[in-house]
Amino acid sequence: MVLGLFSRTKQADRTARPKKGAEELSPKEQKVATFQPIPYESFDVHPLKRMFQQGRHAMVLQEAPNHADDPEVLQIVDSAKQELEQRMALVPSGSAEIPQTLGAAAGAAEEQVAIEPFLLDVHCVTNARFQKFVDAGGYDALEYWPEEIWPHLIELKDLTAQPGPRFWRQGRCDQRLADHPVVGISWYEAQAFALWAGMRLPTEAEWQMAASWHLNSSTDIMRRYPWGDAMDRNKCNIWASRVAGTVPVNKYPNGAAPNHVLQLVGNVWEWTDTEFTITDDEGRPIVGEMPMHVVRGGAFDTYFEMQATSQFRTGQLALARTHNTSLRCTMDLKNATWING
Amino acid sequence: MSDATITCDQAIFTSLRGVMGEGYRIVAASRGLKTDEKQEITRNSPSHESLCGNDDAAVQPWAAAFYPLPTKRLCVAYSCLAGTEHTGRGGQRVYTHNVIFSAGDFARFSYNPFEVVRAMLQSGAAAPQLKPAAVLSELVLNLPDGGGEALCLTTPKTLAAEFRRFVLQRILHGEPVILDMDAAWMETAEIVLLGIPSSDRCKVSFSAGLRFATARRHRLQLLHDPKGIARARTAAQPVAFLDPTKDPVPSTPDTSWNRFVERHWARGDFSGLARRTNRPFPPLSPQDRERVAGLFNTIDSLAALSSYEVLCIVADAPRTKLDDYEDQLRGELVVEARKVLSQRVTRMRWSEAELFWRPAQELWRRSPADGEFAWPLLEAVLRIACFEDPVAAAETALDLTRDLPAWGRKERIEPILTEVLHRFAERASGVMQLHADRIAKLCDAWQRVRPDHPDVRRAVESCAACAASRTHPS
Amino acid sequence: MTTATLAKTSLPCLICETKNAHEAVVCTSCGAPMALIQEAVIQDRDPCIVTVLGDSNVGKTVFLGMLLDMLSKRAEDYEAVPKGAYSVNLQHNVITHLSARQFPPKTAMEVDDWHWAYYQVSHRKYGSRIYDLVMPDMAGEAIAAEVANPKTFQVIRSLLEKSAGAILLVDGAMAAAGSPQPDFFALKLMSYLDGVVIRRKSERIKTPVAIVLSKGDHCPECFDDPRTFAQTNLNRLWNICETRFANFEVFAASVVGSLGYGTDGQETVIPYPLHVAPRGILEPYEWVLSKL
Repeated sequence: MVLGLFSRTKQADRTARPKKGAEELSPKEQKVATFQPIPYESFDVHPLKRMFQQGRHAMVLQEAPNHADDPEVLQIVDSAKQELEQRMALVPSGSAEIPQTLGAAAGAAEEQVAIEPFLLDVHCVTNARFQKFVDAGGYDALEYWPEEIWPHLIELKDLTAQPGPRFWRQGRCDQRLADHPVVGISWYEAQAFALWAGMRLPTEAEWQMAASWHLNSSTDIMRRYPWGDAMDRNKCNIWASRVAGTVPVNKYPNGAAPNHVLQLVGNVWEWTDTEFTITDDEGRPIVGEMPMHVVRGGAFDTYFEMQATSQFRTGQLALARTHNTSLRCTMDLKNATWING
Repeated sequence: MSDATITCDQAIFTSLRGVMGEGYRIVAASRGLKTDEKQEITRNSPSHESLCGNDDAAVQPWAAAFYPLPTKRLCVAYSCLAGTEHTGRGGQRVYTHNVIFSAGDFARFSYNPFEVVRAMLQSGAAAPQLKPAAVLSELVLNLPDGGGEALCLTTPKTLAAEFRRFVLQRILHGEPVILDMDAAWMETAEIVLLGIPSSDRCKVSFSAGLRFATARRHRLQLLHDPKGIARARTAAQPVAFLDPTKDPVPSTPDTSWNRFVERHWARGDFSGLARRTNRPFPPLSPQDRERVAGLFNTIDSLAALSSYEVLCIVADAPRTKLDDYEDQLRGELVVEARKVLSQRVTRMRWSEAELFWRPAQELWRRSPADGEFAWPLLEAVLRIACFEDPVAAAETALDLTRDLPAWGRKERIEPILTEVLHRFAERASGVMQLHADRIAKLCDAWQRVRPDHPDVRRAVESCAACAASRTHPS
Repeated sequence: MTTATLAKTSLPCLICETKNAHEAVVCTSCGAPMALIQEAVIQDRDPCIVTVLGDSNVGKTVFLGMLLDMLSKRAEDYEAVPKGAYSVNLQHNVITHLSARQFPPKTAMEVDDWHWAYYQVSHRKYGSRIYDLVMPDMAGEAIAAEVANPKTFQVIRSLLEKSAGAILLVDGAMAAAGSPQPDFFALKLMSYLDGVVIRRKSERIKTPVAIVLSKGDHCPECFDDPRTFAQTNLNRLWNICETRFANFEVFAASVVGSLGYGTDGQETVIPYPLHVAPRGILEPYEWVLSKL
């Protein structure tokens, strides 16, 4: 289903090509540089091929049975599996203790959640990846959006009033930020993207499991940071790292989790599928102006190191489209046919 | 309005969110409040975390302040807590209700700001209004019962006499003082205020239970400073900072006023103190104050003075008219002295009573009023003499036969003379052997002034018979 | 017991020029810490006073505390050394509260309770130049009272007279929501400033004034184009700035990344900073410094 809420009058802009190729921008440059839109891509008419080109590899696996007669399917599925293998990492079973109070003091209420194994994106979703969703008309495809957001879809536009993340222009991301995590997206946009890609957002417990690596073992070790227990500003992008903006999603390999998932801490907050509920130390609920969802991991501007840990939980208004919140997708292991056979 | 009420202006200073702004400010006031009054109230009013806490968590902290306004009117402020501050940024909202009135009305409140506070509490005016109308009506307060002298106060045990005197002395001299106490700020402030003459009290600004603030330039500040912040901030400034539990005992000059006030404080006689210091004194210089206190001290010490000294006080009382207040005080002194003497003289021995005779007689001759006071004393003295030493009584009574003042009515004098002479005549022969010459002289004297008095004649005859028996012994 | 009279050798207060005894801890008149004055004497150069102004609850304390903390962490290659422990109190207070996910307590109106920060700031961009910056955290209510009735808080007037630069915080979220209050307050304040700064009548004020749209987390549009935002939503302020102030610029800032609301168990709503993500804090400061 397509809802033509947004008209694209400036066709010329759509086809415009940037003068320069993709390159990394310093945060200062991000602020002052002239906008360089990412070029348009053309996709195959073959639906599975198009999905593959759009990076919807999980969706390829889901849709493949509907194209069983197609001789090219097997090859496309194999490629999709390979891509997924590279792009996703297995998070083993474990558990997460989710603090329920703001102070999260020792002995305060916690919720113990058992985690089944799952797959998690190694990287956050980049601007380039999200661009494919935008270009595919993701903002108009109501099947990806919960009904309660339909009246607000028209508000989810970029700086030039085109559908897209808040800081884009003319429905395009800046080419030089193509490999930076997409920001300026609400929880609904994050969820719509995940659905479109054939995946979902992680729950906060899953996210915490991935970052804290709290395995079901007798040692009961829980990491404060994906790489260990000590903050190291050279292993992540937080305020103290002095970057002052997002970095490409493949930076800080030394800050990876044991399964090589990158940037779980720092660079950008990550939307989760969990509604944010928390109380003060007396058990009185703390709420937002509107419903909130849990965001995890801290961002480039996270000032307190204690707020960029695997355990720290905070929330963001589901409709907030901030400059420091992105997403990372997850997949249930049962759908990972290349692993399950 | 009835005579038992006073109509005042009022203003509420607290932190509320309103259409015209938010935060601490005058959120509501009656129409009579002037701009410069509002400015002064704003400057003096407490804001966030400005109430001193109390160890007793069950007791809600409150504070009181009193200060003059630029318009010569006076402001009494009552502060309390009124829920969480609307921004929710920690701490409680401080709510201050200000009552503004004229100096004349202050007199009707017995020159006591705490009477205003009590009237506010009684009327319910001090209860926090968190949605007040921007324009308040005038506030009607009841006057204190018992003319502001029915006080239920106790002297704080933590404030030793030396400290009390020191504080009083500084305040009387217009020098600021800060008292660091962990409780009893109001009681202390009130008892200190009661030690100040009414005319000076409107100049004594104070705050009790409020944290220290440079902008609140009160002469007396009673607060709790457990962390020593206020003490540090007032270092090297012309203000005395006192912690009665830690600081060495200060020395205070021994003045009449200090003695007068301390005596009341020590006795816990605050009603008595209020009765005296609440008098409508004109502005008193230090010398005036000492004179006044001297009179109060003398009145209070009458019971401890010898009767002769008391009589001398009465006798020495000046006859010229002084200032009204001092004249009144002296009059009271005389009345008290007379009461003391009247009670005492009936129980005296002649040896003591004879000392009274001369001053009492001088007093009797001084004026009709003095004569009225002195005559019963003279009578009483003569009766004591009659009882113990009739000869001495007869000698003494001779004074009443000479140079009678115009008001020395004969019909009043004669009965006591008759009583004296009767006793003398009875006793004369009995003591003739011992005091022959004395009695003879006495008889001669009485013959000259009362030749026809039967008792004089009887005494003379007894005396003659006695003389004959001595010349011709049997 | 402490009693003293003014010593013969007295120090004039940096802010209000009242003479104080050497041993005094705070100025008898304005409550400024004497350590600040003594430090200024030692430095033998006039410190620059940069005032952070704004209405009550606009975020001055959090802004200033965060700024100082960022400077002392050498953000953007600034080097900031606090001159005296008292200078650290403000940032200590703000950071302690924010890290505990609370807002710092309200700044009391009483001058004595204001935090004063005296920092020696340098930046490699400015070579060897060192700025002695004095930044008091004033209560919004006191500023409002002084603006409404001049001389209610003389210290504010004295501070503004001596200010080398000012940072005016305006609640961007409130302005965006259509409330005229931030615009009117800012207009009054700028008008007051216009009257305070001594100059020839015909001249526009040269003192740099950075207008900061605060609470940007509540109103992300502030960050898109602060000047246009001010022109649209704070038009009265914009106009007086254009007419009377030669050096002004508009910025947006936020400290909180996300805000939650609880209650005290009764009616009062308590805001909680769920996480801290400072944005636009250094820029206005940097701009003011560049104009000094």
